[in-house]
Amino acid sequence: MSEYKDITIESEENSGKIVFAEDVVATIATLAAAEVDGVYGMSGTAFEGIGEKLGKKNYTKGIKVEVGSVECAVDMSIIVRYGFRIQEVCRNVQVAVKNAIETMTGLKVVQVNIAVNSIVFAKELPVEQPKPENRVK
Amino acid sequence: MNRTVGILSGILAFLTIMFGTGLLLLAIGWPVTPERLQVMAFEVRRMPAVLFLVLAALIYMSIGVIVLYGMIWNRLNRRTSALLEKNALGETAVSFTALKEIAEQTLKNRSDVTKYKTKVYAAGSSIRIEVRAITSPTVSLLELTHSLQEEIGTAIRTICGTEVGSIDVTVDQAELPPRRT
Repeated sequence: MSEYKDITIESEENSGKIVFAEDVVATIATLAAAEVDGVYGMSGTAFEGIGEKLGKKNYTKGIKVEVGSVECAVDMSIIVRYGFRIQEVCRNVQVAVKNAIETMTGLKVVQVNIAVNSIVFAKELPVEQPKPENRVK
Repeated sequence: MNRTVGILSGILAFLTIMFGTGLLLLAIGWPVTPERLQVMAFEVRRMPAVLFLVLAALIYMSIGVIVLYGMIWNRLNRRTSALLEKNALGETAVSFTALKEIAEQTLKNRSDVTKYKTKVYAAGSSIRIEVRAITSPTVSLLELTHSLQEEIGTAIRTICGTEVGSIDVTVDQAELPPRRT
């Protein structure tokens, strides 16, 4: 289980504090990266994989976020689909993650470091089973 | 999470080595002198249980040493096993495993290559790929090797945007089946 760390942002209007967990930033980054063409998924450790096999979705797999009071940095490990230019995919992921975090949290993203650990080929992708049609209306 | 697991693994490995050392000292006795070793050798003949104790101790110590060695090796190789590129937004690293998979996919797509093995190394500021392949008996080896170098180089250049320093290809041809008489 990852460490639970709060990020506190002081409101300039003195109407209170905005507090959210570090995992939130990681989840935003993961979802932003997943939207990029050519990204198959995040590459995590064996322990993180065990949780997924047990049916628990882990949106912070393969991602590490370092936050300060106004800035943050993201380290991610991704799996890229074969056929896409890796540098182009990485660049798009960096831009998407930066925009998503800055828009949703107001934190300035100073670094998005990406590690491509593996490539997935078309034959390895799981085949989606067709959904059974409803027999009754 | 990774850091915590790494630290726990290191502590466990260290404790395993200490446990094994303790078992060994229990079997031999302290201090370890040549006379004590002779006594232990005699005891082993008289009481095989001592031998099992010594073997168990050596196994525990070996496991601990192997785990620690693996952790140190991985740590040292981490930054030398990827293609790094920096840009304004951060750093991108393409692991050698991914490069190896690209090369192997190229080999997999060829019908004239039956078995293959690839390795990727860092060579100065670029990379070196070693390919060992077994081919069908009737293939022209010269044409095959040139073709493999070109295809793998093109695949990596297209997908990763980087030039490969050298691609060393070693090819063995499969033996012809024995003639039926």
